Amino acid sequence: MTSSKKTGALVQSLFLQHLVPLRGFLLALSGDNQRVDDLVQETFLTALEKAGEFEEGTDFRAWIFTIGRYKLLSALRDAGRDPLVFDPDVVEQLADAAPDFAVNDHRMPHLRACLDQLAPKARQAMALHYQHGHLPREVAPRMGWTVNAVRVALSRARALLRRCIEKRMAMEGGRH
Amino acid sequence: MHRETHGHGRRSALNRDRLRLLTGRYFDREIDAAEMDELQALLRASGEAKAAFWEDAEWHALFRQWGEQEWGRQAVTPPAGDTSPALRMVPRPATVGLSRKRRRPLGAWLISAGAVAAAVALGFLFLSPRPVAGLERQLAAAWNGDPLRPGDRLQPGDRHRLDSGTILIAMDRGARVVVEGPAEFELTDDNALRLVAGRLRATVPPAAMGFTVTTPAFTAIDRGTEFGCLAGPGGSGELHVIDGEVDLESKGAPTGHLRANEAMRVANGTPDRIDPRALSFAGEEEMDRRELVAGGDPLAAWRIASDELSRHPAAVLHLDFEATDGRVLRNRADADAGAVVHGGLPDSGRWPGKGALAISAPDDGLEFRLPGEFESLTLTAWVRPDTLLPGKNPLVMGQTSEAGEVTWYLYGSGGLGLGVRSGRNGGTPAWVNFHTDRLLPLDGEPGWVFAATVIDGRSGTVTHYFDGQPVPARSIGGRAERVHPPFQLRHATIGNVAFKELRPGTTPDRFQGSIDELTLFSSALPAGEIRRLFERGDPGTR
Repeated sequence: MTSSKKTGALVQSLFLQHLVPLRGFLLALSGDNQRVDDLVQETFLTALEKAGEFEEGTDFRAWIFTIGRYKLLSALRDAGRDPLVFDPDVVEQLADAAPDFAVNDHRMPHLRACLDQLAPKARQAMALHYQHGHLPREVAPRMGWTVNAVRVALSRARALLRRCIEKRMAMEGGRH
Repeated sequence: MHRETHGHGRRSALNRDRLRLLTGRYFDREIDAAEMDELQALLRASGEAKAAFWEDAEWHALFRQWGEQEWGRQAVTPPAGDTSPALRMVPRPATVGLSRKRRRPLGAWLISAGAVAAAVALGFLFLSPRPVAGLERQLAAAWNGDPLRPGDRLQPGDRHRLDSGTILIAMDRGARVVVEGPAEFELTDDNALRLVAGRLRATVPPAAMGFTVTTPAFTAIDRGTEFGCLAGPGGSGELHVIDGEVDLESKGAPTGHLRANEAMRVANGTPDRIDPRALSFAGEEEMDRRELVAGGDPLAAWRIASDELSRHPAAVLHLDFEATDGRVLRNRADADAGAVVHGGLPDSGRWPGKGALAISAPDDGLEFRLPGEFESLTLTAWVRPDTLLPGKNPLVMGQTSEAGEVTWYLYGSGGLGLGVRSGRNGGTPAWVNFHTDRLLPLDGEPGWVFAATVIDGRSGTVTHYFDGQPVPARSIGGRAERVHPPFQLRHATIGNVAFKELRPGTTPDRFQGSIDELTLFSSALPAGEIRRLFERGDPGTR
């Protein structure tokens, strides 16, 4: 394998490893799943093009976050202002303060256990929202609830999950 | 990693609750323009706000990651028989985001040859639709285009055209959908289907509540149920709820909430209540039945049709005469009720092995009670008269002598008759009778015949059917052309059992023959349903 092919394969492999945090980062900034998928594709292709610039051993996550951030800013400029999307200056400011989403790697194993503590209906609301991508107003008729009831259920479920996960992580930390 | 926890206490001027609310609405994709402006202002003004935003962003990303993984978990656990290629390692939810922008094709990004291979590698992450259902079974299916076969997995977005025949689709979330050709459909996700044309019947277990069928006329959202959908010509559509409840939306707005045995037609955006037709939508049992008929086992086929009939949403009395030697014949439409057998002899019914009751002597027959009153009633029976006696040959006779009472009989002249006792509102009590012309031969046995009569209280009409076909009838004596609800059979008999005192100089009504299935429905079944009842019970011996 030539050096450039080797670097390309490395970038490809690392990209897949860091795909989830990249999507979280771009989703927060763009607020739109559909746009995120476009941005991830573009980020991936640019990362491949620029694979030679990546230095093995440096922070790959930060590198692709930077590429993704500029892809988003470019897309926002091309699309014109959308009242439901952050303005470029807010994107810039937020991106500067962005975390690396590494904490979610530790949270995920606890999330599954904590989900079991949810009432069946709350779990169903979470699934319809996060698994099936339905908006609260789309979840409501599927559960026979009002939209407000769905919003409250989602909000309570998230709060319960946060508390549960933090408690479990704190206990886990205490054991080490 | 040490992380500062926000949101506990009031440590700064930042309204943490307000920020969390706006952030939540942003991530739930519910935020409006004014709220977005407010959120941006908060974020611009404060580093604490940005930190709090990211803290929430991480949690939302976690939940979304879980949702996508759950989706993926379903996809990489193919049901038995799945032979589709497994290019679905990290699938996306089918409904994503606001979808305001159409995605550019991946080809637009293929810049170099190296990128092609890499893009293919990445492509499955985003582009490959994953199967969301399986074709479980098909009967006499003829496809227009690529034929599907049992075991095939179905992907969302693929349009399927079924010219004829019947198929069963098992959705991955658990809904089971029988589609009858001609039909055109596509799956939307693992719990939703678009019916472009044709008819389907969906059975939805609790786990799949929210199963959605979209037709050109409406969207039906299941609330735990069984229902039929028809996508008809000109963009019209019909929804028929067989069990449970279904919400109906048309043009994006709630249009109706239908319960069992209710139906609605939507044409040109206008919804109208119509007569429900549960039997018009073939389900899995009907597929079983057709297979048994084709396999030459009509009795087993009838048993399946009979089971379905017992569960018909409008059935209030269903007697199958399978075991007539006990004192009580179970009402299969109501497990807590039955009909008392007063007399008669076990007989052979429409097929060898099928039970029946031979009625001949004055007290042969059954007695039953049906609580309540009905706006409409449908009476159906498979009978084999041995001979027709003069006057009324009773099938079902009310015994209360009160208003709304119904009597149903064959007439000595070979016709089918129905009487309704009127006079509830202070008028003189009187019977209104509707008779057909002669349907049965006056000499010789006619064999098994299917008699049905529909009393429609909404229109005030009575319609008789013979072997599934409507037959003309007239009001005897021209006393009245219409009947008025409510109708009742609070205390009634089948055959020759009678509790009313005879008027002097009259002889009791007598039926001589056999009966092997009798069903009463609390609604006016449309003609198509009567025809289907006949077709499903026809022994084909005449």
